Amino acid sequence: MRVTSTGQFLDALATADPAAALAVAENALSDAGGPEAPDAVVDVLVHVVCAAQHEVGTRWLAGRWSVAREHAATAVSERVVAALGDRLPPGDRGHVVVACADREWHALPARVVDVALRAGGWHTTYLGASLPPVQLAQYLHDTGPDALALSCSLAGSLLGARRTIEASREAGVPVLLGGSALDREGLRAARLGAHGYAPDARSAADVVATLPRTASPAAPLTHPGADEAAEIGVRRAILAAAVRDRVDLAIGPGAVGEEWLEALDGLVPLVVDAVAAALLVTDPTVLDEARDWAGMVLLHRGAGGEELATVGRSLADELRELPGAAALLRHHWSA
Amino acid sequence: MSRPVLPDPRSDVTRPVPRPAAERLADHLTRADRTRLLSEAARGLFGSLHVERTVFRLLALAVPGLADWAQVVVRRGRSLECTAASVDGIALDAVTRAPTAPASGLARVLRTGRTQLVHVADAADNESAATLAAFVPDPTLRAGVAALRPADLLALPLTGRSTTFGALVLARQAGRGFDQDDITLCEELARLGAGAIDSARLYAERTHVADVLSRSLRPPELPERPRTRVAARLRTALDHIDVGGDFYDVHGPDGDWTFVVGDVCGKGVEAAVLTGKARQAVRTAALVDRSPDRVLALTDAALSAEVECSDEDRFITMLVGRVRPDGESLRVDIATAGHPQPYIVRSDGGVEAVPVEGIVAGLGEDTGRPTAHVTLEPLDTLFCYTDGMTEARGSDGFFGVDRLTRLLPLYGGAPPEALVEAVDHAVAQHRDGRPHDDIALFAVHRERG
Repeated sequence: MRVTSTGQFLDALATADPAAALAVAENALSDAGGPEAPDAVVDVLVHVVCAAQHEVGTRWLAGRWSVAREHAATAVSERVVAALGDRLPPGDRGHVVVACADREWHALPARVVDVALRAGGWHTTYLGASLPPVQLAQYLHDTGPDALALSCSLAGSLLGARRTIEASREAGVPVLLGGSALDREGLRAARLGAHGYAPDARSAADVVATLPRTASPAAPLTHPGADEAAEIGVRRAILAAAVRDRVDLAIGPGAVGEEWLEALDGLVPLVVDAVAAALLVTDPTVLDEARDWAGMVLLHRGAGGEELATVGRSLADELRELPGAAALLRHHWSA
Repeated sequence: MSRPVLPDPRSDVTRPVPRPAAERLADHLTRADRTRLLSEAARGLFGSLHVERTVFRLLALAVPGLADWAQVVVRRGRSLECTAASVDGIALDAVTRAPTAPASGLARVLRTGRTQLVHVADAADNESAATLAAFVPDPTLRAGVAALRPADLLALPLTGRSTTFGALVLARQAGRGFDQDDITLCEELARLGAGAIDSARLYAERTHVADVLSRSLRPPELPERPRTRVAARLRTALDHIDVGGDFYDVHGPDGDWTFVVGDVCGKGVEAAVLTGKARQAVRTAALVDRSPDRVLALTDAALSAEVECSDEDRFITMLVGRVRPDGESLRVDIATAGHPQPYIVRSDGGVEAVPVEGIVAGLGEDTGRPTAHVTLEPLDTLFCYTDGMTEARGSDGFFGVDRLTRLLPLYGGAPPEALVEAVDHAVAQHRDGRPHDDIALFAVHRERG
């Protein structure tokens, strides 16, 4: 049943057809127990919408779908999540603000968490993606919610997440982190100063209940990696451009296809971010994940292990003056 | 600054507290501990601008560091808002009526602004019940402190702007009573807490005023219309202010509705006030006649008077559209007052600029503004923007129309949210954190049948 729904939902995403997608989701919802059952709503979000969306990501990764097509599909999914969420009654367990970290443009996971929290009885405010950090902090001061749930999909968002956690704790608001940029044990979340970590949307409502009632200001991060992460963050765009130039030079003109050069444009800044994030949370696996992901993207666009190594070497050359970053790249990319 | 705690003949119970030196909590507090506690309090209290959050913070600083139980009371009108914390770390909220008898308990602290120390006996007699009730009016919260009996209660005033607006009530189990040094320390904490809570109260009052006044200046909710989808995004130049000089609005019945996208020169609150007037003028004009050129002429006349009165030379660019469903498609009439031309993104990715021209509004120089008539077939999108988008600066100059027109074809047939999001994202990446002017993006999309 679910597999069928997921397939049908994916078909609707493939044609970017919101009406068809909503109809599939509604059918799945009535099969799962109807809109009156909050658990059923979360079921449909997880097993139909997110499952189909995962396949959308795979199709983009494999180079079968363009970025624009992925965006169109995601916009349809977001609309369906919002529509299903609107049918849930307002919760009364306390007020949770749901937002994405700075530079995090993946709004769908946050939207799903928003609805899952509502299904769990919380009153939520969804603030969406890429909200300027100042406006988010302002909102926390203005409304004084019981918690902030912050979504981090890309490694680069961990840097912004840290600043938002500082602002939130300053305002006395405890923070829950979730998203694919975090590890399953919640170590990264803890190192960033969050009070809680939710491994998935379904568990978020229960984790919020375990958060403290108040938060004290976050202790400053003083480890050497934090300084290097800040340094990389400041020079992010310049570094990405320089790395790009080095890769071009190393590979030579005409050696590779246009498609992967284009992919490289989007990928290099994310890899730079991943180095900074790995240093910030003292977790080299952040870089491992970024390397594996970059490898997949390039592989599907006609590049191999040699080109991936070139990206790592170029990055290491640019960052040679930062000992932590250099060591990190030596051990986790060049090998 | 310490203050003698004198027995008050009118209070229910006030009596010197027994102080077995070895067991007092405060004896474990060295001078360094006290300094650290106060610096933590100062650090922890200054950041929050929300009353409830600040109250929670104060409670967390008091328990268990200074007391076994604590209550913060804040007066709001005729009510008292009481919040308490015990060593379990749980805070409870309760609202209760302000006490009427000013002679004792909380009412006395609120009236006099002076610290009061009382002992509550172990016995569940009427006297100790009355004492507790005088300081802890809410029965649920009272149950928490009653368990500590015999206990010493220290009630400290929360004073700001020359008014005692609340109290911090600390309780310690008897045997760990408050000596003079403790009282001095607790009074210092109460002063810090009072400053923070009072700032938050002031902030809340001002925020409320600003919020009500600016409600009409914020972007409107976009209405759902049959088979027609509108998506929009507004990015204000000043991150901390969510109103600015760019605006959009949508109004009218499903069968014949009007949209406007506009840009008042200038930014911030002053510009936003003028956008409010412009939006209202367009709404009124559209009630008279929805033809975009007529809407613009009337709006221009109305705003010219406004603009002349203002200190600066302000003019307004605007794009007005009239939208009517026509079978499968949408007919859109468009006129402009000096606004950047919109684009139509066809379902197959074809992109067409809509050639409309007309003089800016606000100068009172209406020379006529020709109307363009376009048709949106199913899955076509009309995309409008303000020049804050094309003029967003990156490392290699403006974002520009070229980048826009390279992006638009990729979103042929896509939902308008995806198109708006893609442009917003591309501009943000181009800027890479550089400041920008207000940016409004607005898209009308005809859905499939």
